[in-house]
Amino acid sequence: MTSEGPVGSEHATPNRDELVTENLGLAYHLARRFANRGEAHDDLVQAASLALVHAAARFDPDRGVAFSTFATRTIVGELKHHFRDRGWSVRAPRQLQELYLTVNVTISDLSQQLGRSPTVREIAAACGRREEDVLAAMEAGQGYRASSLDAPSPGGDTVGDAHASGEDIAALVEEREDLLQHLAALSPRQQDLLRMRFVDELSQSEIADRLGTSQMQVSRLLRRALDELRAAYGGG
Amino acid sequence: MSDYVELTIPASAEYLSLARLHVGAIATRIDMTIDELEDLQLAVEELCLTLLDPPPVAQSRLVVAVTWADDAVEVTCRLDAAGSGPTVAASGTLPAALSARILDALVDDHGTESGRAWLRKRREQRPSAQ
Repeated sequence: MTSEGPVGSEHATPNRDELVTENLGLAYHLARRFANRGEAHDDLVQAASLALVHAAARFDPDRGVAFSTFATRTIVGELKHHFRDRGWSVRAPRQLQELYLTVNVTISDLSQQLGRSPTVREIAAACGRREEDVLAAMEAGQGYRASSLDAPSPGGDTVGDAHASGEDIAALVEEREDLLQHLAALSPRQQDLLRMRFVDELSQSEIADRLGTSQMQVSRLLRRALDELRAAYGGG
Repeated sequence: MSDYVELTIPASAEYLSLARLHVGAIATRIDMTIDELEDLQLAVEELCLTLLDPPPVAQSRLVVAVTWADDAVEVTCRLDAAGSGPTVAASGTLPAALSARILDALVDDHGTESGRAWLRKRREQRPSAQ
């Protein structure tokens, strides 16, 4: 993806430090475009900033390309690498990984356009892919590691307090003390998530809106929260 | 319910992604939204896990049967237990009462009878749905 300038063109006329400082906004902007896909925001900003520094080091003004263009290419390439290398706990074929990212964004776009959660058919049509590819990408996404499970998203997403969430969930059953005890194995955010879905009965899309994240991320986090609760009951 | 598909998988939690894909494909056929489809998948997973407790004998099979109509999917899961021998690894299971509350939130109807667990989920009527 990255077209690299000749190595050793560090003497580039524009001051490298200036290129970096002037374009930090660009790095932030691009990092944000890749946000909500399960990677910690800070990690993305860091990866993007590092790529910016590399871009500045390799930039060759004689090639007639604006630095911002060159840097964008380098940063986007690096962010994609970042996802490929670090995002997947279960190895999915690269094509599936890329389709997953596309599907993730398409769901958000379509949800906004339609004012409701889209169907697989609609997503497939929008991506120009087959329905089964979309389903496979969604399933592959379940193996996509959410490294920032408990990291607050940039928008800030503390919803209610976890203690209250735990109480609300426990009220679902009669053996509430027992459930409360097992819920303690979950993070406050996971408890919030369970409350929103199973007590408040919000849809995954509604939760995603509320948390400023994607529906696919909510799906993954929900499954993980349930898995961890099962493991807690299993004595794991 | 107009049509019928059955999937048989090893009775072990690690194969449940196949059951998810299976019901996901059917949900797609009747044009469920992603929210509905994900709820259905989560519910089927929960349903199957309840059948894996206590852990069945290795070589046992989990049968996931799906029937559907224009506006609803019905899934029935049952365990075809192998005779005797070592059991598969235990998968953590939620208490029945909690499991039922979770299914309440995910699907329209569900139940367990004579070794079978079933659920039913309707598709919301949408003006734009075809």
